[in-house]
Amino acid sequence: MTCSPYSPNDYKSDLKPVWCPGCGDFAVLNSVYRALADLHREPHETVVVSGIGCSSRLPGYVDTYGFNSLHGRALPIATGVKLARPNLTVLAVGGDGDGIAIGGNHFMHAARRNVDIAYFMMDNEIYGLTKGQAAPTTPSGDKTKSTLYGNPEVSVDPCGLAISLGASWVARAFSGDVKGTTELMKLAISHHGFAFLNIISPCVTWRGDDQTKELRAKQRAVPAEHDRSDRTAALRFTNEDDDRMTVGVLYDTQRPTLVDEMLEIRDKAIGIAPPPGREEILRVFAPAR
Amino acid sequence: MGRTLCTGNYAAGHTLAVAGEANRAARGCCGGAYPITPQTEIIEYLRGFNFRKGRIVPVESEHSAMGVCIGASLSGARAFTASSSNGLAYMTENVFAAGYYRLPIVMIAVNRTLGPPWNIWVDQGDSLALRDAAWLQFYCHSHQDLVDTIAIAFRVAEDARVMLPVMVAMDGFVTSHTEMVVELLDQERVDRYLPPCEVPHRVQHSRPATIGNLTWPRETERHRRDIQEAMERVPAVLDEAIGEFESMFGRRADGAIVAEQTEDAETILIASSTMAATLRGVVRARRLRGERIGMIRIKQFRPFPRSELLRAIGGARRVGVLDRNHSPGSGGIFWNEVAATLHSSDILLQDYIAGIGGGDVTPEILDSIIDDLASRTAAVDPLWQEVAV
Repeated sequence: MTCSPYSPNDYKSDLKPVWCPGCGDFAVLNSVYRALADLHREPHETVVVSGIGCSSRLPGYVDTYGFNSLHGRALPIATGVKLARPNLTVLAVGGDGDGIAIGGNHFMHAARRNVDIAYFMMDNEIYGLTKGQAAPTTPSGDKTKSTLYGNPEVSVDPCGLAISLGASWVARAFSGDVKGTTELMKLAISHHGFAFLNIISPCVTWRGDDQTKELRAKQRAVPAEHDRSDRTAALRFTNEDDDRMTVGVLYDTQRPTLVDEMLEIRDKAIGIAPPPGREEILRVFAPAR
Repeated sequence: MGRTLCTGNYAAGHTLAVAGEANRAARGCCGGAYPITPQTEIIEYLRGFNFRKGRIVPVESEHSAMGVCIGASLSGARAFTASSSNGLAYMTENVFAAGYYRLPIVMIAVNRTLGPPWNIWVDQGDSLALRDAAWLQFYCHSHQDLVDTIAIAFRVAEDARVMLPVMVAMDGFVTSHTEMVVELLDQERVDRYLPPCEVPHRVQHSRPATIGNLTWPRETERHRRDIQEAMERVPAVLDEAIGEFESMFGRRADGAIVAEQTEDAETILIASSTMAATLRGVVRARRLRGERIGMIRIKQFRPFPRSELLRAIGGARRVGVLDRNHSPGSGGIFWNEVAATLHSSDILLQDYIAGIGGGDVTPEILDSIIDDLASRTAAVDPLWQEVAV
């Protein structure tokens, strides 16, 4: 075993998080520090991209490269970074509102394309930054500041969505379990392909003080006999009953990533004909006489 | 309803709600709701309002919020929403669609600086970026101005001679989150003030049609000219709407511009929104000291009130424009419009860009800007606040 040249503290930036006391995202941030340190990821070769929301402030607290981009747009920006510099470790982070509501379309295409990035979705089942309106993950019937008579909509399970959309690695974590979350982050970052980690992260301000306790009580580990390569079996751990929240790796498969496909196309194109020289290009585009 | 102490967001939410409710005898009301600071309380108010014939739909983005308004308005409902900053930027495609579909939607724009870098404070760059979207635009300086303008906006938007959407803007936090005493509108009189919403090209069972199909250049040109002609009819329609508002509610709402002490003024300052409210105190104080100074608050930005402005500026020798907005590579956006209006005059016209990103434009800053204007013999490129003071 090699000793990591970095400690979790080396990934801490000078910015102090402005999250509410008790927010689950503090634990997620600690897990990010630990995972990056354990995997020996060089800070200058790591990029953390977010959208907008409470959890999307995370890149500012990590001493790597980072983008606090536009609302819902973390995944296309992360895709651009990964395609331009495939050797970098690219993390996309943000909330359930950012990723499932306003940015939902990008979630589909990043998963489908199998872009080699790790996407950590901090899921508090509410819009936190705008102070407590229902998100697509808010359970049906819940009263929020935008659903005063109860949420009339059916909620989305991000893991179920990711599996359906073609993500090649899908897991659920609970931020209250820092060690477990860290281990899942390490697997996500190491996965070759689009890795989606849904981190259930309580919002003490808008989902109540009891949310953490309730989540802790209902978390269950994925059964040891679960076949991670079985998509149908993985879907059994999505849209679970109210009293159950299965944490761990639900789905894990290997298929070519977007970068793999692009490199293959490039190699094929070069193989068919060598790239034209400068003189040939000038001749083709020369004005007609 | 009597006088109420409330925030700008509450005042706006209430006025949208009673306007929507007023259409219950016709095709009801509908809107899309999506939160963004600093307008969120408006859509929360609407979501909590028990419409007898109407629905406010919580959607997944601002783009969809305007989409819901477009669908509702095309079906004949009274449609409205609210947004801010990057929400307006993301909504842009549908904002243009609403204008080009000729739909009388009313939207509250709570002005907030566009990001990145992220900033939640006031700057008019968000709504002014939509100035070419075939919407009327009004910039309000107080809570009462806001309430009255929203009611009048529905009246003007839905008038067959106009049939265009209206954006009513207020300053983020300065107006949206502070409280003022305001006369809110009661349902009974709003019911009488706003006639049933009638969108002449709404979808109808008896007249199946597809709206928005491919057109040839000549048809598109005709469509754009129709919009321009509708804009040119706004002053007359607005005058009527303000007159009837006064008959109904007993107070005179502000028009396209508000000129103060400009009759004999040698120096005139032009501003909008709450910066104009601060400016009023400064100008009044200088008047008391004997200066021949006046001011104009531009409330209606689209259509731009050129003739009203020319009349109010009259024989002034110096005009300073205060812009809480900036078009990179050019200058203040209000200044650009004023410059086009004064193109054939020899008035000294100077632009001052102040309060970008929500900086506090204090009476002291305005005083120093006025001193700077007085000292100039010729105009220079737009001056930024820190340059001017």
